[in-house]
Amino acid sequence: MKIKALFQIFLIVGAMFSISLVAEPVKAQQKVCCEQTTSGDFCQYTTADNCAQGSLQAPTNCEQTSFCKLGCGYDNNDGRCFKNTPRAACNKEEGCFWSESKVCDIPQCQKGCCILSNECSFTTQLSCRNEAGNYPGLNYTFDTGITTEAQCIDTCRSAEKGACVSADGSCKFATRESCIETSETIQPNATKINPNVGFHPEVLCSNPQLGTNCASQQYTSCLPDKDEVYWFDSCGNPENIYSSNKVQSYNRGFVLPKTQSCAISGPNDKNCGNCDFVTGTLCGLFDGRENKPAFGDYSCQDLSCDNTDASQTSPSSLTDKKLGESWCDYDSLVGFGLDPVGSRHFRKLCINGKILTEACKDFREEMCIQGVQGQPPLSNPASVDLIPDGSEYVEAACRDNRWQTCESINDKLKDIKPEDIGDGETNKLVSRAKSDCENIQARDCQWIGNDEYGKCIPFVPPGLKFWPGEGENAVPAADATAQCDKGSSACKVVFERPGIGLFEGRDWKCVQGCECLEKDYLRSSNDVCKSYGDCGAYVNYIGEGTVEGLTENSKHDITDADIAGYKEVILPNDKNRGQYQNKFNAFFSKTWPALTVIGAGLLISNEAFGLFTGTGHAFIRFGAARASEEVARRAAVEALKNNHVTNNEILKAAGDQAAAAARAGTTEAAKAAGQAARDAAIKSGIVDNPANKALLDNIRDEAAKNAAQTAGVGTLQTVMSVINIISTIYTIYSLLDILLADTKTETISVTCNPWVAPLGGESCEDCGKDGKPCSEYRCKSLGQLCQLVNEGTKEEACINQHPNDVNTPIISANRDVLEPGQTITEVSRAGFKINEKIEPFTPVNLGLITNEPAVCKYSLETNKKYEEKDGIFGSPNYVYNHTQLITLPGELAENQTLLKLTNGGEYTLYVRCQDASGNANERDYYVKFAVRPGPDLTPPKIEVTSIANNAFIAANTTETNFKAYVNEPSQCRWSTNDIEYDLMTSEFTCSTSTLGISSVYAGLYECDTTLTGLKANQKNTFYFRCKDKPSKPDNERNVNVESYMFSLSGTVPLEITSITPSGQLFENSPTLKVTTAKGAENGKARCGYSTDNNVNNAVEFATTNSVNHEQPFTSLESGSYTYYAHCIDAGGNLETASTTFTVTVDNFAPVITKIYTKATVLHIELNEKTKCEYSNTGAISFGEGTPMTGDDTKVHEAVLDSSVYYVVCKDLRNNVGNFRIYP
Amino acid sequence: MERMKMDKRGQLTAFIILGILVLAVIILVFYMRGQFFFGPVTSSNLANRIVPIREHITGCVQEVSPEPIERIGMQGGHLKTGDDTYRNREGIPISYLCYNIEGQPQCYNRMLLISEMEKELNDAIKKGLATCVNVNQYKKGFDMQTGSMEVETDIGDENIVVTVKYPITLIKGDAKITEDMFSVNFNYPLGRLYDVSQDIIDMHTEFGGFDQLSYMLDHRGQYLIEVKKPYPDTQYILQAKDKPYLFQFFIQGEPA
Repeated sequence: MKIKALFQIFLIVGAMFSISLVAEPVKAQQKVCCEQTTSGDFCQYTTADNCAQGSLQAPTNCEQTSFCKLGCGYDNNDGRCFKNTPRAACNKEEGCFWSESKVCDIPQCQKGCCILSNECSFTTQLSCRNEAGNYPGLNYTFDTGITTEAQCIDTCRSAEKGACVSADGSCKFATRESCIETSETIQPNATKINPNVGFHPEVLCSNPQLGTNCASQQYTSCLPDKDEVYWFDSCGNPENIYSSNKVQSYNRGFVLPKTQSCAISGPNDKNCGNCDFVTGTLCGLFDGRENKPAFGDYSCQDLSCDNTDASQTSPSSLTDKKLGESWCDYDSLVGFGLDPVGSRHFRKLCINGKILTEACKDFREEMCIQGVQGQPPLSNPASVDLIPDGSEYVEAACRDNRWQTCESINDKLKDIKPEDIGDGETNKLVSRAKSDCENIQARDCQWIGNDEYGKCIPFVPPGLKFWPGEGENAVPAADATAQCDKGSSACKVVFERPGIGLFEGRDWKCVQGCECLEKDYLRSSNDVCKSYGDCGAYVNYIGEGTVEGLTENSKHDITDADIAGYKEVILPNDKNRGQYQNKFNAFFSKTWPALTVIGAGLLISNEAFGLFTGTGHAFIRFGAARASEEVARRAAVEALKNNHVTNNEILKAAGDQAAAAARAGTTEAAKAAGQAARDAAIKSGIVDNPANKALLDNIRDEAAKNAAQTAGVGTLQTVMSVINIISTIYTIYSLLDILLADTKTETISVTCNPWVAPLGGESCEDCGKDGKPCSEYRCKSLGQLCQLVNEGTKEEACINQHPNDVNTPIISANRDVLEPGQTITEVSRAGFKINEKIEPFTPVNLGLITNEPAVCKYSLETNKKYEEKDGIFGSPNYVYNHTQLITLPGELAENQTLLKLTNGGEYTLYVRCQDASGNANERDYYVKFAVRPGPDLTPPKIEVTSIANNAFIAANTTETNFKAYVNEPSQCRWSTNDIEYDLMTSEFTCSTSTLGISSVYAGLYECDTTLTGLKANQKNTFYFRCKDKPSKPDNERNVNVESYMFSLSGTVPLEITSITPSGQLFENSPTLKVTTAKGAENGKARCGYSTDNNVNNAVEFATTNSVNHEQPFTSLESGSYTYYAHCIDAGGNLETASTTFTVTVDNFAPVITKIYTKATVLHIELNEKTKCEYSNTGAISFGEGTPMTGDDTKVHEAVLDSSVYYVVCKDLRNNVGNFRIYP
Repeated sequence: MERMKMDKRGQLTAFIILGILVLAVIILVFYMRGQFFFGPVTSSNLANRIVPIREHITGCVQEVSPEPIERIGMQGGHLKTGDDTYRNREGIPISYLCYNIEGQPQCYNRMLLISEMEKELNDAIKKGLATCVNVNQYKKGFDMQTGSMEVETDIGDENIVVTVKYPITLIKGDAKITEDMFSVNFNYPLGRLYDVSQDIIDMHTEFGGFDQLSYMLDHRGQYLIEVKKPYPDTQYILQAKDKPYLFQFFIQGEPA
């Protein structure tokens, strides 16, 4: 016990730990409610990284947040109301006001009938006012008393219409209101010339009295929002309802009311177009062969549907359908737990002569229910079995399958004890449960059993995600295993063998729950199991079944024959349909006896009863008789064990009587007998609980009766004494036989598991072949290897995806896509070649077929792996047929210039395909084709010019030689205007032969000309155009339709505005400086210098190519120098200037030229600019003395306060002079 | 002899007069031809010259517009579909116009506005026109001034009017003509189908469901409403009677 407890603690802790482990990844993918996403949408429940920056977000559903709270969005601009609109979505819109009323129960959103002239719409008042505002002067009426759109529309139907004649004789058949507007618009101030101008109610535009230019009854057609076929006049105005009796229909040019128009004899009446939608006809284009209208192409089309796809599984589809009728379409017989795996309900409806199919929600979350108009609603069983007669009008709907609460009904019965069954209170409880189960208001369940006991199961079993693993999307959250487990059951079977077995032998004999050993028990268990959903042993919607969903330890099995039986029941054909009219009987008649067995097993003991809590309560009632017998026998045994021999006979008789009664099926008798036996035991003191005195009396009476019978044969007392001895011996034998008897029990358990799809995937591709949509659920039901691929694409398909599929797709040519006349030569599994050359500029289809769905890729190079191929051949999805449309010349892959195809080329595409299992071809499959050379439609192109475009030209240049290089032999012309080639007058001289390739630019052809008329200081633009193939007729030549624009910029002469230095220089390292102006680029030029006036000898300035140019010189000797500056700009303007300067080198110390004193100041003057210092104490070097005034001047002063001055001066070239002065 | 001379002189005079006449006729013909073919430039001449430009631009609108207009219908009123706002069906991203409210049959409205659709169409058509419109090819012989191009789409019940605002001025000498708006009408019942979609969404937001059959009958078969239910959503495909144009959208459902 302790170990068990510790183990349980370990399990709990382990489970908590594992939950904490899986919590992290969930958190990583947690979604939040974004007020605004990065894509601009509002109130999206998405991952946090999709939220726009700065937008509010909360880790909860949007409807839980304040910023995305749902309410009413009221658009003040057009008056439209948006219900259940998030606050944020409304706030983003200008003019939107948000209100908390989710259903827009605010005055602004109250709808009414907006009447504009004879136009009515059911809308809000603001919307009405806005619409009216589009028509100045037009009054509108808003009627809140009209509460439906239909009423509103009818309000306007009687609006007055007539001919609206304009001054120019034109006419429109319109309303009075719009006519007033029209006529005012046409001639606001003019006098009416045509006396008929204006509105003429009830008059047709073609009425001769109006004098319009409209001729009557020119053609027939339909009118929007009208049912009938109308005549139209030559001006396009509708007239009266079409009748082949034109005179009658024309009505002398006046409107003929519908009621006075012709009456149709039925749909497609060729003589009358008075259709009526309500009675099932509507104007439409005639598309039949018979009864072509006498005039025109329109007639009253039949809106009923007589082409229903009648199906034995959908009884209500067996009759023709009227307009607006809807009916249910099922994959199989449904209800009563019969719906096979993968099946779905459909609703079909007939509208406008067409049948639309609406799939109810997948996983049978919705069921299709139908009824007959005018009759009370049908129960679920009656609804799915409805077979209307031809005159009944059937209406159907997909609505929620409310199976979820069926099990809750069973929960109410779980406390019923076996011995309570049949009691009045129990009966009431069961009866109430049955009633609750079949309460159509609350749920869609059915009761299996009777008023004493039974079980509540879904009427239409829910679809479950029965397949293992993968994918969170599009599957119900309900756990299939847990759901199916509700259908599990177990049965305890007791075996006995006698202790001695003198007469019977010692073989084991079943004494309790023996019915569970029968196959019917297994069938019953499976029927209950599969009623819980896609569980147990059953078939899919195409009738293929498996038994793996049911595991049991019975000696019997659900066999293929059983599966075939299921198929026969749910997919009836014409032959066996009749015998399954009552599906309930058909299905359960086989299992009914066995269902009783399930109940018997439950009554073995309280312990056994406990085993079946949840599922084992069912069918107790059916085991009652069997139980009584058992109780009686047990009482007898107990009596014997306790030596109440005197009662043995009575007890044995009672037990036998109970057994006989039970075998005879007389439940009450058996029960009474059993009770009698029990009470006898009580009387004998086995159980100290005397309960039923009346029965005790009966037992006593029975004993008395037996005693009386014994007394009646008193003379035989002696004989009887012998017999009594024998009986005693027998009793002792029996006692020993019983005391030494052995018992054993076996539990027959049936585990209800999710249904298992058939092995393999051979039927996968049946999904969708019936014209009904394939879904993952449906696909998975067809085979364990079925996989829905290309989901959401046009090529969505259910395919066989075998995990052991290592085979690559086999590629072959698809001849069907070839153009007429094209043939191919195919080498099996290697490739094919299109024998005929493909016409240039003609789209051509290249087609491949793979033996399994695959994606194919191609390249123009061989031996590239699938992943490395350049482009996808055909569809990017897993498909069989791969068709690549190409136009030649063209490009097969936009990003691969190598794949550019041209006319006259031969090409090979190397294709490899990969299947859904990832098996890609290891070898290329080739597709060869050649393209016929195409006509040269490409005009020539000037590739290079001898002068760069937009170049400058020298000032005063009026013409220049010019060369253009063209990519093919051509004739070229030029003009200063952008005009067509033929209008250009100036010619180039071009190489017109293919041999005349330029020596300068290989592969190009030279064209020479002289460009004239160049003007200074402005842009000179020329336009060149060329025409190829000079030797060909004009109609074969290609000419430029756009000019090659070429410009030369005229310039003014370049000027050198300054050149320095000049004159006397007393330094030997001068810098030659030149400044330029004007020219091509406002003075920007390149300059060089030379000592003669020859530009060829010029050396480029150290600094140049701008407006300032400098060339420094160093250590010049004394002497005279003349330099020439030569400058040239981008236009070739050359300018030269010169300068002369003399360099005098100063190597002499400065000399004092004047000395004098004035007051207290000593003045000295020198022959050149210097700095001077002095000392009164002795000779000094420069830098050691006291500075005098006048640095770098010729005059210097010092305070006169000494008798001697030792002066040192240094000139600008650092020549130093020492002086001693005695003032 | 003298008479012969006089005759010859008379003959010569006649030839001269004839020559002058022929010359005059030739000059007159050339003058008239000039008037007819190269006559003085007036605004009306320019008006003729702007016709091909107008045809070119409206032709581009006709070429470029149908694709986004049809696509916006196929994609549920949105040309640009953000994450989690659509579901792919047959390769088409179809927008959810009503989002699931957990645990409730009702959904909440995404609030698609006509103005939003118009704006998306404006952008798409403008983008398409940028690769189509090239008025430079009509420049010859004129000065042409062009302004910036704007596109305005007006979605009506039965039609969609695409207006390109693109001021183009042709100038030749003193003559000048300006055309700045080019409109093309497309017969797509987008507005009407939008209204139907809003009716459907209203029903879903309020009641959590919609019965298309009664709606179709109430509207006398003027609409075909097809319903598909790829789990767990509901797809509506709307079509006006006898019109090929489709408007489809999703109502988001909740997986069980």
